[in-house]
Amino acid sequence: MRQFFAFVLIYILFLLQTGFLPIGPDLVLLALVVFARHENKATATSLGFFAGLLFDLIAPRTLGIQILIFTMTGYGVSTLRNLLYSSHWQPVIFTFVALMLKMTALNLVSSSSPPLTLALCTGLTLILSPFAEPVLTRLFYRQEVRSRRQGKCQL
Amino acid sequence: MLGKKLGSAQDRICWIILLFSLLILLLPVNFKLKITPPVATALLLPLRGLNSLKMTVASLGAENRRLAQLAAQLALENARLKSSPPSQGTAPAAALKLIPAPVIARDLGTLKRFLTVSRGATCGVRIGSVALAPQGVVGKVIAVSAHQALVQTIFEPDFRVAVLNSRTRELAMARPGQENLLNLDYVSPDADYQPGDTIITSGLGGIFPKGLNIGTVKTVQNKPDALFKPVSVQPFVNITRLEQVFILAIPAESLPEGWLENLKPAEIRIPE
Repeated sequence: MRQFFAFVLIYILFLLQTGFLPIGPDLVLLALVVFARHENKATATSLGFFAGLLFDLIAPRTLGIQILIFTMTGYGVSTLRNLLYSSHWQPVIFTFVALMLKMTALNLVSSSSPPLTLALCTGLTLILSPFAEPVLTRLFYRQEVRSRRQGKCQL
Repeated sequence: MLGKKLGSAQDRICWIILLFSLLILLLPVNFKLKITPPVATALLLPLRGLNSLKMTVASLGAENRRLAQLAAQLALENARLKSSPPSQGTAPAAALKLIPAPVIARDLGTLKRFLTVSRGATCGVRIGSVALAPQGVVGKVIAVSAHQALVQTIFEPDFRVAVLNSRTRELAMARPGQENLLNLDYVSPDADYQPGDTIITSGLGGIFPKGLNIGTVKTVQNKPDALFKPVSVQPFVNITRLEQVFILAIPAESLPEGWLENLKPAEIRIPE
């Protein structure tokens, strides 16, 4: 059920981002990084695929590029989360790497935005990245956080 | 054992999705353009609805501004028709111009005594130009720069305008009163004023054309012993909600005829 609501949230954030915040933080990427840090690999990869598909449907000529970027982001974060020391900076690092990957890939297919817009979007996304984790964790993973605080074993 | 199998199954799912993504990327463009419309229609329907809603709102805003200007033009035309006797010729409608002027600042004390508008001398605004809204008179221009003008509204304590009762044609002088009302001065005790009567500009004084709406009579106090009858008027225009006014611009080179004769400069001085 939680996974279903994760997909719904990704969809809502996509509508918000493309409908009302064309120049703003990449809310979908922020949410994807948070979900990928908590969910299993298959769910994280599927979420990435879904998010990328939504963006690629707007520009069908380059269908596949955003799908690949977001899918790799979901898979990469869910795979590497246990290899890096878990801290408040981890989501920021993952978000930064994902943004660089996205910008590089979009530049390669010549469908990127003007530099100033890109810089603004990147800056806003990075500023919000430390705050996305606690917000989404409270919403979706409250039980886990409570158990962790109480020192209980999660099976 | 079970955990290892689940882990490898998850990895397999992930690799399948990754390879599928790569496959989609490598598809020919024509094929992509063919397969995306049905999926896009289904998934992007709310987004398309949002975009069409935004476009509708923007077009409604533009239509609103156009209709507000049309309403002001019609109010002016209405005033002209109500004021001109049938025997006189038609006013030179081409000489009149209504300049839409957005309100960009207000006085900080009451927000309704003075308005600054973003149209000035370069647009034909002059000192003494009348400021109107579709509902009626807003005030008059008292200062002009190249690109801005200061409008003294009907609620400014020094504002005065000669008015008349549209029903009885009795003259009076309107000035600001209390509680967003105007008071009429010089109303004789036997004058016929009733609540609901429409008060319009009389044209006397050479500033305001005749027939422009001011407001409706709200209260009439009958005081037989008083020198003048106290009458209060509720203005048609709500100054605090104005976002745009219309400045009546009459080119200096054309002397108004007919309906606007009262705007000609005075040639004979009235003895005091």
